[in-house]
Amino acid sequence: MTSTSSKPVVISTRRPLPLSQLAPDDFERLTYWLVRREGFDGVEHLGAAGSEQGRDVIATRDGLRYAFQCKRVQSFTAADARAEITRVRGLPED
Amino acid sequence: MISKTVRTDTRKLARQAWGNDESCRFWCGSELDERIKRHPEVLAEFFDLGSQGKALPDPEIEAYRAWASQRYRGLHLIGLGGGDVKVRVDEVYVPLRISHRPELDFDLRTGKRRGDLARSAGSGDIELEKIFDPELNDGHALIFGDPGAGKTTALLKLLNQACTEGPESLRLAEDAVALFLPLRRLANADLDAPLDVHLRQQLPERFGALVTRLWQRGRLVLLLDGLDEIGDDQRRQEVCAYLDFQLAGDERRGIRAVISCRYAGYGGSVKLAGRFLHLDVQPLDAQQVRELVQLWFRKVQPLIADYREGDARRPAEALIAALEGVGYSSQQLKVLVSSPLLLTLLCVVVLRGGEMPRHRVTFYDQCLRVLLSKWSQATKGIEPLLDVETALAVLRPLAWRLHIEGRRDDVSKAYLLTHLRQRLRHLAPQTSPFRVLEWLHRATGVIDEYAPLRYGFMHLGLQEYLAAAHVASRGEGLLDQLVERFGERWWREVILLLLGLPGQAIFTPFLQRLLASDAPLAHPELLRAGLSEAPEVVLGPFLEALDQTSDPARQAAILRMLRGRCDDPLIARAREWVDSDHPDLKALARQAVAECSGAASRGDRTSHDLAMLYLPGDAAAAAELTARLERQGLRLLSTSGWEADLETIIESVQRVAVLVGAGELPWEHRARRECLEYLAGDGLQLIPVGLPGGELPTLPSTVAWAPWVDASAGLETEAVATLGRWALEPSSGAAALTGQADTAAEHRKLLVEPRTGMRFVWVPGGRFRMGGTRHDDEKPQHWIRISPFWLGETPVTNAEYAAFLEQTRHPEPAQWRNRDFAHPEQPVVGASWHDAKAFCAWLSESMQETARLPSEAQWEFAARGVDDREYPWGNEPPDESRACFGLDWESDHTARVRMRPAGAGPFGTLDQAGNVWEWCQDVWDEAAYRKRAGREPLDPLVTEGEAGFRVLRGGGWDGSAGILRAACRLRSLAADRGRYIGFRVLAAPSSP
Repeated sequence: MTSTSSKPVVISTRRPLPLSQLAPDDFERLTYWLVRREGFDGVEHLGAAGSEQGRDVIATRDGLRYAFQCKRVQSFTAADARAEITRVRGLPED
Repeated sequence: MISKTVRTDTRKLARQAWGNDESCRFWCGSELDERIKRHPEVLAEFFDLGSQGKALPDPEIEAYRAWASQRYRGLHLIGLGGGDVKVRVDEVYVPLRISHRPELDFDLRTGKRRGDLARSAGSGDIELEKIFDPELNDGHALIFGDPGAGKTTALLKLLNQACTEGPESLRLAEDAVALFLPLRRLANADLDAPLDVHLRQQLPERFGALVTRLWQRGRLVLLLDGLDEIGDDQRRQEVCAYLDFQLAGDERRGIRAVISCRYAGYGGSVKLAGRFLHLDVQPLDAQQVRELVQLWFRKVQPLIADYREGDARRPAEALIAALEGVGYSSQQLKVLVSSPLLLTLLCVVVLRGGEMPRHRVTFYDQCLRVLLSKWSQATKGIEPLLDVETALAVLRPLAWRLHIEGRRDDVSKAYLLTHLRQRLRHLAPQTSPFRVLEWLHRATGVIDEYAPLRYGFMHLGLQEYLAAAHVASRGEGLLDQLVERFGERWWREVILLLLGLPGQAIFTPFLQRLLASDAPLAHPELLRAGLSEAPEVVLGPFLEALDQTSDPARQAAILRMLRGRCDDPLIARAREWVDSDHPDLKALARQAVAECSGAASRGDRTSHDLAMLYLPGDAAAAAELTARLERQGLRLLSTSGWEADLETIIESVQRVAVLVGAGELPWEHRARRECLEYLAGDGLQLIPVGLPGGELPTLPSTVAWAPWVDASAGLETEAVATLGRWALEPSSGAAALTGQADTAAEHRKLLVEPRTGMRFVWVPGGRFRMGGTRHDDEKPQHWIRISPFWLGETPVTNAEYAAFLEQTRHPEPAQWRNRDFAHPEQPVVGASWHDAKAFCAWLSESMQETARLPSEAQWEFAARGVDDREYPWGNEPPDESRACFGLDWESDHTARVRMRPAGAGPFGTLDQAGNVWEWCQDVWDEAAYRKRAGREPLDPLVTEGEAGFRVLRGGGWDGSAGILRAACRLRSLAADRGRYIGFRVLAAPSSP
């Protein structure tokens, strides 16, 4: 991992995390590490190419494949969610 | 995953988006927060939590750690063949003892107390892994040790542990990274560049960017090895300033440095200013010696072809038995084998069947011969390319050249080849320099490859030994160059080893040159250290030097160097100076004469110190005088039977006091006058003593008299003391009677303890004003009465303490195996108050008197006498001729006792001011003086005060002039085993 992270944001752990203040790259790296720490195997950060396909991070657990997509938005509706998931589901198995 | 900016109920969103499909999950809003917060290291990586979080493993860091743990995991095990045989650090690592060196709590400049010794972390051992423990050390660390003490091994051990077990095992942040840098790389480096530039050069190029990133990020452990290996003093000073600058303000970045250095490479102007915890790598103790020997032989076994299982155990056990036996029981030999390097060399030699060496030079010599011999290469089926003598003849000038150039391990292949070609042209013209280099490196291990194509000697100690051997092999040719470098730290070992070489061919010419230079005045300690390394000290050059100078300071320096020698020509010269105007020279000359005439007359007619001849009419006064003198410890033959006892007198004494009372004069009777003439004619010295009530009549001119002792006004103390001093005055008699309470050592009455030879001086009782006005704990000054006692002439020496250890198996003191503190005549240091008590109890067994520690009051009385003096010698400020003080805490050490007779106390004690702090019997009570003032107590002793604390007196080798005042008090924990603490024994007369 290269040092592209921006200056960390000072936070208090009792308050909501200031995720919006993270740089886009850092937000994706955060996802990567969170997935790893949540117990998934073979975690990969796909970067720009993956993002276009609606997958930022892929991983496996218990023989199942998982795709993770990161979104930072001001508002997010059930319709937006459905659209994202449909995009991922439409991809060929690899 | 959705960011928290939409604070939505995730289950609700999922239901709305995809019905009840379990394959979809949304982590958003507070749930996402909670998930992140479950992983503090993730939290810490992306959000600044101060020190709450842990960081994530960084792939580049992981890669570096994997590389470093491979690169640095191996140690050369000397003697196991060539440069490519290495063993794992953790396989041969005997945990070294590291101890914290507390800063002395006196401001060295002003002599004011800063706190107390106990406040510092003590002088106990610290495990290497704990040197970053926040409770012990929140800054950097500076590890000191002797050559071959294992400093580099300790740093590599830290590196290895950080890389394999993780930095948290060293109480460091999980993502901290350890980097190793031999400081000799900075010898010629650009000190304008930041440190990461130099750190990068140690690593493969692929880690370059990482190092720079880490340098900016922080959380680095810099293991900086061998400050002393920067040969030039000036440059070393610059590197210190550079490191201070580079490490400054790094608490924030979390950069921690551990710097290793030989004692001799630090101190004076070479100092680091930053917050460094000062640590000493302690010499191996008996248990560690055993462990290292066992480990070494266990490792050697599989590497030797015809070694069977169990073969390794036998020589290991035999060696351990030998090391613990009587043959190796002396402290000097223990010092030798307590160096991991020298112990390993010893294993090599023993395995080879060689004789156990007993001096440092023979250690090196025998080890080199083993490494270069056929045996060491047999394991690899290699035939030695050069015979041992030829190989040494090639290596010696190489070592000299490298040392002259201040080089250590960055020697290029071409440089080595050029040298080898030159040498081989004469010695072995058929042999290829390429093959010789390969052989020296791969087969013998004498030359190591420190970086790709960069070479150096396996150990600096070998380079130093070979350089010394080269000087010796070149006759007088190189001596001038060495004299010029005398005193330079880089050359210290070379000079010591040169003086330690057997044979006189070099000693005499080298000493002639040194003594003609300023060396004896500029670096007396180094020269003395060199003389104690020498197998035999020839007097010739010293006598020449004495004859060639009229400078009393130089004469004094030379006399001091030879203290304890009783060669006639030396003493003849000393006799000329017993009345010198130069106080130091006078004291030294008198000491030399006294010590030597004492030695000469021992067993001679001295069963008594003094015969006292009186007339029957003066019997009462004679009895009183006799009693008084006997209380001073004199052995008296008192008689009024002049003719009857003539033979006894002649056989028993050298001095006769003739008592002259108010009545008849002794010589008025012809037979008595003839008695006196006979005694004088037989070489005895006579002194007239005017008794109370009498006068001082004209003395018969047929006898050469010493000047009158005038007790005509009463047998008051001073007259009696004067007579006592004269009785013990070993040389020319009359000199002792001039001056009151002269500081010259020869006046004292001695008690000698039979087992150790420890000498006690008599301290007659008296009344004196105790305390001072400088510090609160010295106030108020108050009157004290003191009963007479014997007090150790000097602090207890290593030689005396060794007798105790040998007979009692009491544990060794903390500095016992430390080369700098291990001379037999240095005071023992590192003995706790309890150890000191145990010593006294042991000593009492062989004495009629009771041995114990002096009370504070007794100690101070012995130092000040009755005339309220400030220092033992009087009121003149301390200087180097009177006391050992003001030395460098890092690189200096105690002085041998009895070296400064000009600093003798009023009763003949030596080294009371300076050298070591001395334990007293008393419990520390800051208010002790206030509590007893005005009562004029007899022999006060404080038994209640601050629990655990005891009193120290006298000031130490590293203290300032201010703390040498006899009234100055210090406290420390009774368990303190510091290197500045010794003790002196008091012997209480059995019938006071």
